[in-house]
Amino acid sequence: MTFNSYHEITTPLTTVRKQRFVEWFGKEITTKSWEFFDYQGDHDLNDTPSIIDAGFRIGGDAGTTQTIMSFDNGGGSQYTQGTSFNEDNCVILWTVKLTPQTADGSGSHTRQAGWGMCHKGSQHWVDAMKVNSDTTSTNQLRFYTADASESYTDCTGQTHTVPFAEEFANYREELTSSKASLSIGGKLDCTKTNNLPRYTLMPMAYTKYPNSLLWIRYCEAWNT
Amino acid sequence: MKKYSSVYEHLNGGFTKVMKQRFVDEFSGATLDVSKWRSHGSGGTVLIDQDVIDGGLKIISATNAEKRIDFASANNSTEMIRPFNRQGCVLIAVMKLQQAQYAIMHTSLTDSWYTEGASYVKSLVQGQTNGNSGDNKFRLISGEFTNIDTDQTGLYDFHNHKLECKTSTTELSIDGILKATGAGVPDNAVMPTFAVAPSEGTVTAHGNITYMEVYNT
Repeated sequence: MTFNSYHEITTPLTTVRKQRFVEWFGKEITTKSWEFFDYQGDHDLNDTPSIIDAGFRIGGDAGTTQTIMSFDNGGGSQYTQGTSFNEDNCVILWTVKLTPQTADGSGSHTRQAGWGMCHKGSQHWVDAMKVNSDTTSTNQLRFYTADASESYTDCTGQTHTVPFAEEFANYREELTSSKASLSIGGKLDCTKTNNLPRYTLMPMAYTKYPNSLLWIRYCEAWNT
Repeated sequence: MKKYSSVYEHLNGGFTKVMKQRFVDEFSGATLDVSKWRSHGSGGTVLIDQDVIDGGLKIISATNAEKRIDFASANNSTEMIRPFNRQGCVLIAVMKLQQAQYAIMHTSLTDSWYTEGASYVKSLVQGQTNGNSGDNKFRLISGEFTNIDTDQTGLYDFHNHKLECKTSTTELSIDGILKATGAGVPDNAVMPTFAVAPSEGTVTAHGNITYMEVYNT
């Protein structure tokens, strides 16, 4: 079966299409889409390297501050610019991996990244949904949701620790009015029903700590 | 359903067919993609809607001028990008008129940035004006044939507008249903537009667009 239009691949013309966002990360992040919010102002890397299937990558800040990629840089009056996704009915897909940026980061807990959605581009811990990596003890990947405050559940797969995230995988995060769910590699991994975001959302990915290096190959979000 | 490994194959049934020009914009992100679009018209604003589910791009006109986006890099006739075939192309736009009175919104395939001097076909949504022809109608508009009012309802809702220029006729479908056929096509190669305008000089017209696709057939 073929489609006459790109529109019809996901939505028949008899249905009014809802908001959708697709980013291929082919050459450079398009200026129409992404802004960086760099808390410390010194994150040392964001580029599209000449490496097969690398996509786009973001390095961490020195110290413990964060570099956040979203639709808003947090510095202007349009603080929630582009939050066109429905906190009660939306999906976001990420194809990403998290590696140490330097050799001494290998095996340590001093690297962190997250990928999901948030309401305010500079705050992924309020009104948000994300996968991120624990840095305290267990190397566990976690699925977070947040309203005014955030909480998490551990990803359930035995291999779903930070070393697992060193290989590219597909992460599908979905929100309904009563539940957030995370699928990894096409399999449902975990769900959450508390601390669900209260406001409209935009795509968001971030790194924290200098050893963090997040590689992003694909992002797609849509309202359901 | 056959599972293809590429978007290209979904659209063309394989690689034996050479794809023609295609343009897609989802109007999601931080800003309008100005590497593709330019805005025209005195005053008004063009920006990604803030904090609105399915908001897409919002255009608001001044009270006395049309506000539009298109592929013309400047307000003159020599710097337009018109890659689409006047006798074989399709435009799909998902858009909504927000302003209830004295406002119009349209998407078009046109050969000029300047409406009055253009040869075009438009899918136009016209609100309540001062009793003008076409009030509260979805219309197929062109200088190439007599304007056609349709029976489409839901004036201030999002709809899927499809304009198709064939060899000598233009068809308007809304939400997948053919609504009007005009006996003509533009005079030259065309580019897409999206625009809002006040009809009586007293309001700021406001429209939103969440999707546009244009392709040669």
